[in-house]
Amino acid sequence: MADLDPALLRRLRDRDERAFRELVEAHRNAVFNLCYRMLGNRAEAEDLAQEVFIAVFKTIDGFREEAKFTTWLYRVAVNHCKNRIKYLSRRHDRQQDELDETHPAANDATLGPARAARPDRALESAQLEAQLQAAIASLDEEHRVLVVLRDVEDLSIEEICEITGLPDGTVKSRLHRARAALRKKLERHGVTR
Amino acid sequence: MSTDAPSPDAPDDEPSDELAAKIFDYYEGTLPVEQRAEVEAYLTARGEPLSPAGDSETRLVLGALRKEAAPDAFTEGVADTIHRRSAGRFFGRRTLGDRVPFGWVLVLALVVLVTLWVVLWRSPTGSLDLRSPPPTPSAPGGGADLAPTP
Repeated sequence: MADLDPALLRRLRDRDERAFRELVEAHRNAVFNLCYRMLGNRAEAEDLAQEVFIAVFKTIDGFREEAKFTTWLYRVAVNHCKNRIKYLSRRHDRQQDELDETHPAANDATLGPARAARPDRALESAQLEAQLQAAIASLDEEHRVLVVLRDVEDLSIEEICEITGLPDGTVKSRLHRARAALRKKLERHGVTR
Repeated sequence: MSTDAPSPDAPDDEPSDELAAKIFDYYEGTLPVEQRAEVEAYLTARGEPLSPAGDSETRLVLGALRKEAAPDAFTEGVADTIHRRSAGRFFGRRTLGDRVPFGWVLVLALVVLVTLWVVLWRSPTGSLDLRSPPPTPSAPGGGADLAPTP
């Protein structure tokens, strides 16, 4: 995500609708992808990404320019994702609660003996994508958010610390535990060795 | 470093937070050489891969996940939702002070006032009428004839 042009920020603060549309166009895919990887459901992700932008517009006056806009945007998105996960969890939402044990695409029987020789090639399979998504969704929200930010969105540890407000050591220890848990799941499904 | 609850999927034999952070650095290849022995001893005891790229396959798989694009109508959807919720007042919702450039109005008013003052100051009539006053007509025969005689 590129950072925000000061002229665009001024127009946003003036409630210029075209500026808002420009901002959404520039960041919609990044925010949507983050929400999708956190929630594992396109409809929920779309709804949540909309809420993220609405929250950004409402609070744009509170954005302090000493922080990077993208960091601030990610922080808003992450907080919304966490709240939505809690809400869905309370509602016992079926789509969100389906972990790899119940996810049809993540069932061991559907995997067969095939083992990915190269994980990036294997990702061409929608089935494998579903397994990965289910494995991510099975992590608790604190671990999930770190894995998504680091390993899916490819953010630096410093950026993740700023976004989550966690100390460096906590981010690293949680990431290690999250990756270890994911590795076990993926090994069980034959995705990795 | 804050205490951290282990993941439900984590193995029973959990490293401390500090050691877990070091293992993370080890696998990322950023752990200082002098601290590697401690991490390698821990990993060896548990049969974990002894290489800075130990969990690279998991990272590669995750990093190769497709970037999901937002639906085409996403931007329109956000704008519609804002319009609907704010009853159309959100965009362009500015106070009178934002809409009227009061600063420029003040400057313009000052310029007009100074111009008026200069005009009045230089005016021979003391008014905005800049024409010279017509000469006062003298009475026929001279004014002296009209003077009352004592």
